[in-house]
Amino acid sequence: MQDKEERSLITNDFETLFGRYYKPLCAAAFTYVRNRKDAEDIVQQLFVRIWEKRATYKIGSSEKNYLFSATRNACLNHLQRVKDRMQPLPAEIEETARQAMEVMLDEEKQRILMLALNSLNERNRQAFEMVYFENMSYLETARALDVSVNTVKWHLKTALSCLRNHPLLQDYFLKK
Amino acid sequence: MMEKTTSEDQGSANDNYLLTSEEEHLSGLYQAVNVARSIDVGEGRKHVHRLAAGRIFKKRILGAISIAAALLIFAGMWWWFGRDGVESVSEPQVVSKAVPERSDKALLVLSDGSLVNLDTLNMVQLTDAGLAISSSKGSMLAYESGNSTDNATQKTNKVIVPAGGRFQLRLSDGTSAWLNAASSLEYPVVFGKGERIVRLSGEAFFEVAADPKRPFIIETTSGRIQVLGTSFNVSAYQDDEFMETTLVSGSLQVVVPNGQTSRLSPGQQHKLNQRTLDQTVNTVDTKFYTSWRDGVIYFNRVSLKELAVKLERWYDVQIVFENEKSGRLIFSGAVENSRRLDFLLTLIAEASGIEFKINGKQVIIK
Repeated sequence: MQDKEERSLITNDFETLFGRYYKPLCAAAFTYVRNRKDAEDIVQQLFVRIWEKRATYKIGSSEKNYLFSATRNACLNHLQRVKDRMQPLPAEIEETARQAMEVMLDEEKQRILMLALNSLNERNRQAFEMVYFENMSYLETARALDVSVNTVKWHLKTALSCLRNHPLLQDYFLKK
Repeated sequence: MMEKTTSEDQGSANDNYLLTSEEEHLSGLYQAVNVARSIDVGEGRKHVHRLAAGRIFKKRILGAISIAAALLIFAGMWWWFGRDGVESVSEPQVVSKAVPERSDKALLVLSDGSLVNLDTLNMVQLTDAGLAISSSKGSMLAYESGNSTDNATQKTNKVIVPAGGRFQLRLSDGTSAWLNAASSLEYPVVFGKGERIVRLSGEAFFEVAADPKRPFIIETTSGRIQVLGTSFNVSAYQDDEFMETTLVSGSLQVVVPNGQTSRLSPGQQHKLNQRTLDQTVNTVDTKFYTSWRDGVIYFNRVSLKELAVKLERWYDVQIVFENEKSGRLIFSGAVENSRRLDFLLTLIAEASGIEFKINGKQVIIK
């Protein structure tokens, strides 16, 4: 007897699966490869493989774990190919990648994350967003904020330590 | 942060800015979530469908006809081919490297002559003559009305869109203009009390904000177009045989250099031969002329030679015909213009049996 939840993937299911998991898996992949385009490419390739195997691919209760593992493995292969020595050890960021995926699957978690960020002191938040969101270097950030590079680092350090101790983030977002 | 950071920055980051693993985790989490939130699922979906279609295509599991059907389903693209008495040629061969892609890129020339690259800036807050000009993601520029100073009406800005680009602009009177590839538009930072005059070279779609007291006038090298409040497309590339003005709604008047005027009703197209100055007015299906703005290009019984001229502008490439006969093949169809050039050419090749080769910016059609 076939499990009730297990059935072949038809076109509609594929679109649903894609709509639900594309962004979350891109978030996980980005944690590993640190590059938006590579992350998207990896996840797209994964979905192409699923599409091709859709007749035999079974979706069930473990789809999230399966998709995460497949994405992680593809990222590790990619990193091995490009041999990027600047990358942190994959084992250490697995938790981060998994949480990034979970946050993208849950709007409420996204809201909390952004709420915590917005509660930071203005200068700390600006420095944090410029460096981590806008990809600006410390020097560019220092120029934009009209402060020294060391002050930028100080702002970042303060921002991160406020976030680490933020009550909103205690429940879900700290490293287990 | 990795892409732009120099090795020097990395060094100093490692020296005096060590993060605890908890901090690494949080910053990594924020970065990943921030990137993922800005990802376009629709674009990703299109890519996946295209990749899936491409793999099926390569494996030649399906015959030529079902390939077209598969592409229709997978890529949302459709294609008809009319064979005007041309014999079919051998199996298509596709050689592609460094395939050019479309992008939204443009240059802004400020009133003092200085240049701003609208492509590389993420968010610009420029002020020219005391007016806020904002740009988001390099593909749109808006002039805010109000707070206009007197000298702002004398200052002109110009947006130049190179081949391969496309750009959207909102002028200070609320008029929107979509500029197509290889086009430019010159306009005052603020319009004065009289006529609103802009200068166009190339192709643009306008949605003119209604203002009966201040007619909107588009000057091209081949004539003037006067409008009140209306939306229409002007294609006035100097290297094209015709200047075409297609009216979607409202009313407008085309004035050619010899002083003759033609008034258009919605759904009509004015065609001016730029050399002989012969003009005709016909009723057309306006979507064929305005759809580029929504990222879809329709063409109706167009020769490959004419299509090539358009492709050259859209993709910033040079197309060379080795065999004149290939240029006379006639096509009708529609394509999303976010597609890569090789995808399009492969379809043309598959439909017609021609062969092509891409060498950097040059495309050779055999």
